[in-house]
Amino acid sequence: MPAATSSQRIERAVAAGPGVASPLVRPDIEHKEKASDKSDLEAAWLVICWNDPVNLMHYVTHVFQVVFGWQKQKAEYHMLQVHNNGKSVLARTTLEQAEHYVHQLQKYSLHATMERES
Amino acid sequence: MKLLEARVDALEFVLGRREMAFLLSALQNFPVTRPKPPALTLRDAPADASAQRLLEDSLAEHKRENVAALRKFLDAPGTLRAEGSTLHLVVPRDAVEWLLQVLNDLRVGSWELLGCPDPDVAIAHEDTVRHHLVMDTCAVFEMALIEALERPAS
Repeated sequence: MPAATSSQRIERAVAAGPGVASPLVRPDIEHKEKASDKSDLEAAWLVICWNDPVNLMHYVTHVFQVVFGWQKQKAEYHMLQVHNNGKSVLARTTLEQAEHYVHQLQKYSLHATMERES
Repeated sequence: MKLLEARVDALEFVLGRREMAFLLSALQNFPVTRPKPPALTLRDAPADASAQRLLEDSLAEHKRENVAALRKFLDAPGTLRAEGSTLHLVVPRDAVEWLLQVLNDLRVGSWELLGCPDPDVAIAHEDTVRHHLVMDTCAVFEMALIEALERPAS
């Protein structure tokens, strides 16, 4: 069974009424820690473009510029990573945003996938 | 295929009659039915089935939109015109991205139908010439469009 969240514990404490020892120690600090954990989890998806021998280098650069709004220099940097290293991590982002980027890249027939960051 | 003018609203190219024939012949093959479905993740890390289905549905719908856009583009009276011995192709700027997607779908799809060979190897069988021709034609037009986008508009 998963541990109760801060808000669940607050609700239980309120429901129990006065006179009951509160388990809530430094709730504000705990809230901050939880928020930080959630943010990290949400952003833990990588958008990866893989090398292939068919997509033209200029075309790949152009697509990166359009999909991510990058300047040509940054787009070329990632294109060369794909070309030389076999792949490039284009974004580290949330699940929904990663899906959006992969959809966009695949509309241009690039070999792009998303993976959970290990 | 040469860029004649990069206007604010459109790119105008001059083509030889053979170039135009190659382009129109290649475009007739769109959309290509890919032998492999697109994947949201690598094969050793399968995606959530609903997310994978969403991707496939989204790409299929997008391809249908591009089919309709391509038909409208080719039927539009201002797209192709003859001037003397040359042919002019006018591509509105707001058509460039979907046209690039169409051309690259043809290029990558033809490559997959050939079994994903090294594009520089010699053609193994005569019956695959058509796919190679589509691939190379689309590459030429992709490059022409991208280079034209980099020119300042007049």
